[in-house]
Amino acid sequence: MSATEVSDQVTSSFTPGDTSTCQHQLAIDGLRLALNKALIGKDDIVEMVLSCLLARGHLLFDDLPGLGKTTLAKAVAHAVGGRFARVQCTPDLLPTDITGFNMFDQKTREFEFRRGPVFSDVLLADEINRATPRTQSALFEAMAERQVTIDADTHRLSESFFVIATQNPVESHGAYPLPEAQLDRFAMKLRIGYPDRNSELAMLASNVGSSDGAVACDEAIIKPQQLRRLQEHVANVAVCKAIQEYLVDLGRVTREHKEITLGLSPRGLITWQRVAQARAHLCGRDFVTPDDIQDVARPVLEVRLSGDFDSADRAVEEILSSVSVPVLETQNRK
Amino acid sequence: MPASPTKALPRFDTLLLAMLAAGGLAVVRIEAAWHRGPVVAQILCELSAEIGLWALVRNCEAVREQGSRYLTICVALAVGFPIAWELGQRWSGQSGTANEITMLVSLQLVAMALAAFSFLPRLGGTSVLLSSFLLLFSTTMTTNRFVFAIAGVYGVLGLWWLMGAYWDRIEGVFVASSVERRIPVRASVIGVTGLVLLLFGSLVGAAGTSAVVLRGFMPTSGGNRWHDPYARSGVGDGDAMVAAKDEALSFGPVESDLFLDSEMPSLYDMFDDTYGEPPRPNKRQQKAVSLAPQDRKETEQRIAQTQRSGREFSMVRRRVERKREELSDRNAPAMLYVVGQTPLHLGLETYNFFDGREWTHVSGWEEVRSPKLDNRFGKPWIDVRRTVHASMFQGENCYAVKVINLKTNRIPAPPHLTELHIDLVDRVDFFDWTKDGMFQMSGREHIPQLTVIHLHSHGINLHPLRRGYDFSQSFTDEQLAKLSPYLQHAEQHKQTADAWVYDVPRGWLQVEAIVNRLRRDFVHDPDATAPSHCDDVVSHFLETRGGPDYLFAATAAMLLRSLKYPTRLVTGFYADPQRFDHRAGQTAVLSEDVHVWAEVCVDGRNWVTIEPTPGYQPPSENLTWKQRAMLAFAQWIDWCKQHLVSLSALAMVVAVLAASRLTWLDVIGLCVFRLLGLRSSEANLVWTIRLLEWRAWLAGRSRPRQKTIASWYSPMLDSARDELKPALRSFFRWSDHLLYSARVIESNHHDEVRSACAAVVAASRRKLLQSSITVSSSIPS
Repeated sequence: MSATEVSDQVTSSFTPGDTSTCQHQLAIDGLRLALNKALIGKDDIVEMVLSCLLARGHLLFDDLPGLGKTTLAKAVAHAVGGRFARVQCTPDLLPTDITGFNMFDQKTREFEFRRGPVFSDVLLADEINRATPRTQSALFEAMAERQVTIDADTHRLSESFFVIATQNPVESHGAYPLPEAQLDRFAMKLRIGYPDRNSELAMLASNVGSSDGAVACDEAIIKPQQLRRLQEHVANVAVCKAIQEYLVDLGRVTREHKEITLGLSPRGLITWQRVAQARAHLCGRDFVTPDDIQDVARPVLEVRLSGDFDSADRAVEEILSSVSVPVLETQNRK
Repeated sequence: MPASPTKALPRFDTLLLAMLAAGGLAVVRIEAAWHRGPVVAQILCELSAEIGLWALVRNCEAVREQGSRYLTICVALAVGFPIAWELGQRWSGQSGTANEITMLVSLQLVAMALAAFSFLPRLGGTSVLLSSFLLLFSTTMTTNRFVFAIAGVYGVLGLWWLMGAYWDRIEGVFVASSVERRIPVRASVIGVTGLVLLLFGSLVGAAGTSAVVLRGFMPTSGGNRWHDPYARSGVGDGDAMVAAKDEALSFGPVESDLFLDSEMPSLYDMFDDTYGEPPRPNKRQQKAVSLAPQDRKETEQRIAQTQRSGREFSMVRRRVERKREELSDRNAPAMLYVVGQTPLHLGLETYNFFDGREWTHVSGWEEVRSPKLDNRFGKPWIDVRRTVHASMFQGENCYAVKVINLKTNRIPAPPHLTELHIDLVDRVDFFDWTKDGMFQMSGREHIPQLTVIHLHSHGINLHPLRRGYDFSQSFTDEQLAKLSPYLQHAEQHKQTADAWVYDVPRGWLQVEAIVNRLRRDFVHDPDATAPSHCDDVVSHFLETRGGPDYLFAATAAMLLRSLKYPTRLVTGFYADPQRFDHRAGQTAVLSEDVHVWAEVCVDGRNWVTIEPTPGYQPPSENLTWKQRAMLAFAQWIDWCKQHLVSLSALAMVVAVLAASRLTWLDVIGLCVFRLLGLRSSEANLVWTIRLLEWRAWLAGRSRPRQKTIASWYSPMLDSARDELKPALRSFFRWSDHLLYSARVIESNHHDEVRSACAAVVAASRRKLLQSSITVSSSIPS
């Protein structure tokens, strides 16, 4: 039984004490339903996407074409009710194509700022590894600080700015792998994978009669302001000292692992904690458990660990196995 | 979770145990010191430095971060400083300490340093282990009761420490809790312990506890061979004089009036006291006839020989009136103190002629080689080694004998003496062989009181003689002529002897057959003396089948002589292993330990002791490792046979307990839960978690360390009854809440918690756990 299933079983009727946790449950359930409708048979991926969204992290999809990356990204954008922008990355894409640029207006004899796609609530950077490093780095400031600086002018982005980037792992010719510094800006990397047989059947059935060939969610479930409050609420989910020590120990293990050349950065550690908080919130809890840490470990670590390992799954498994979860001694360290 | 070094702190209990062990050693050091002031100051400095180091490590995070580096420096200092200090002291000529104490001080400082750095993994346990050894060594080096009291306190605290370490492990890490197959720890521990006990048993059990005392467990600075001016024991302890009232190894002075009121009995006095005096010849006028001149000449010659020898041992003695009850707590005066392997036969006189009533020595037994002086490390050793080495010799035995209250100039020596040493006696003409083959201090009336004699002798191993080899056929004519007095016997006993050795091949096996028959079928009865008119005490003894030890010895000797094995009667002392004082490491030999036994000549030069009297142990042999193992095994088998019923009962009980161990261990866990888990909701949850872990361990489904309670035990939901499932879900939620949430459980949820815990107790039966939690569950998802 996976930890997700366990959490589902355990949290299905969780009501101990805290009523504030349940205030946003309706919105979350709506988001969950909308995304599940867009991406059939991938509940666990949807949970991860929601965790990432609530943690204010950015998301990188690394998978084959046609598995629903763009569909899911668009569904997220529509569900949160914000502005959606899409950039199809190619080698000739310029940084200004993303951030925007100052254009000289002949009439007013002044420079006028034309906003790029980053000035949206959800930005889909499709096949980001096809853009040149110069263009990729244009996203650095936007992702990390939610602002862009053009010609000495700083422009704030949306508070709910959320980047979903996709990359195709098989067509490496003419691609520019994302540098580690940029990878660290993403909260997690997800692989959607092929759906199972029943899900594919359901997908085909839902496609019959649909004119545009894609099932999209056109209705906004929540507003950006509501999402922002949700994110603030997630930031207040309690993390006891023992859990933080557990996280730090895991981080140290990644740095001492013999096959990992670049371990977890402190920023990565903070991101991991925030995603685990979001995970706990999605499970209906107001505190983080080691299961939350473990559940989000693979997508969080996979995006930022680099090294000489054959399988990222195995490396993550080794890291988790090498640290004991805090159990009864936590009572003295809460 | 392996805590990072900077967070953990050195443990106080580890420091306390190290300090206790240091206290035990401090008593030994103070006791052994000539000037106590500097030693006390040194000890106080060491303890202060240790406490300072411990406090520094505890309070300074920078030191803890560099713990490994500082530890290396501290351990190097702990090992090197006492040695350097000792060398410096000796070089300056001020004073010195025995080598073993210097080594123990190093050990103590290392244990203390490790205690200060006990926050590092495994160092706390190592420190306690070293402290335990330190205290063990300290207890073997002194008889001071204070050290034993410290050892007792240490035992209690050590147990407490072990329990603490165990619970830390259980509560904190839950190490090795996966269900993978691995080396069975319990079986390994039991197996290794059994092996060690078996080895120890074969080592010590075959030789006796007293065998290892002289060499000791620690490398003494004196040892048995070399000299060290600051040694506490061994040959070389002459310079560091200590009080010699109780210790056999001390040369030091004692109060001069200690023995003023005690008499110095000779061996004959003790024989008379122990065995009774021989009857006086009847002085009444009797009728007589004159003898022919040739007959008269022969008789007078025989009397003259007897008188010339001046010694006889009568086999016909009056019965001793023994006291009805001896006070057990009254210390009888010791004749000798013996350090070394016991049982030990210390021969003083030998006899070779027996006339049916009395033993006398009639002809000289000339030893081929005169004693030689050998100077070794400045100490004089008298070498009495024979040039020819017999095949039965195996190794060398070392003894120290202190003469307390014995009036004889003969050296109470073990068989096969090779060399001896008396401090400051460096003249070989002080020693000489007696006419009956013993060693004596010639020119002296008796050995001075409190003289310590260090003795070395060949160890024997009789297995070569037992291989069907008839040693009596190997004597040369010259040896036979020399041994002829030792073969004199009466023909009437030959039939008995032949009957006793029927079907036994000639050689040592026949000797053992005679001895074993006597030990088995005859009763040792000190009061069953022969009647005064008896002219053939051996025949009388064979009829009555009981008597004192001298009759056993005489009978064995005469029966063996009738089988043409040369024998002689030996009188002396028997160092009884039952008198071995474990604390002092020595065996007292009292006046009632006078003893008579026999010896058999096996190669024309060497005499082998035989012990025909039941109740007295035969001389121990120096066995090879293989022989020891075989002997230990045989003894073990015999012991098992003797205790067959009780062993069977014990085995059944153990088998039942082992078969039902899971059940009663489960019951114990449940009882603890009931006892401690009902105080509050939190306690209820905590002890339910512990009970769950305990039951999972019993079921072989221990939680892997990377798994949480909820993720590992939630498969129980699949196999639990439907009515329990909601409560089980509730338990997992509340256990998470307890462990990882800062909020307390509100009172309105207490009933829910209680029912959830009750559901876990009901649903966590062993078989349910085994069926629901599978091995594959241990693989992280």
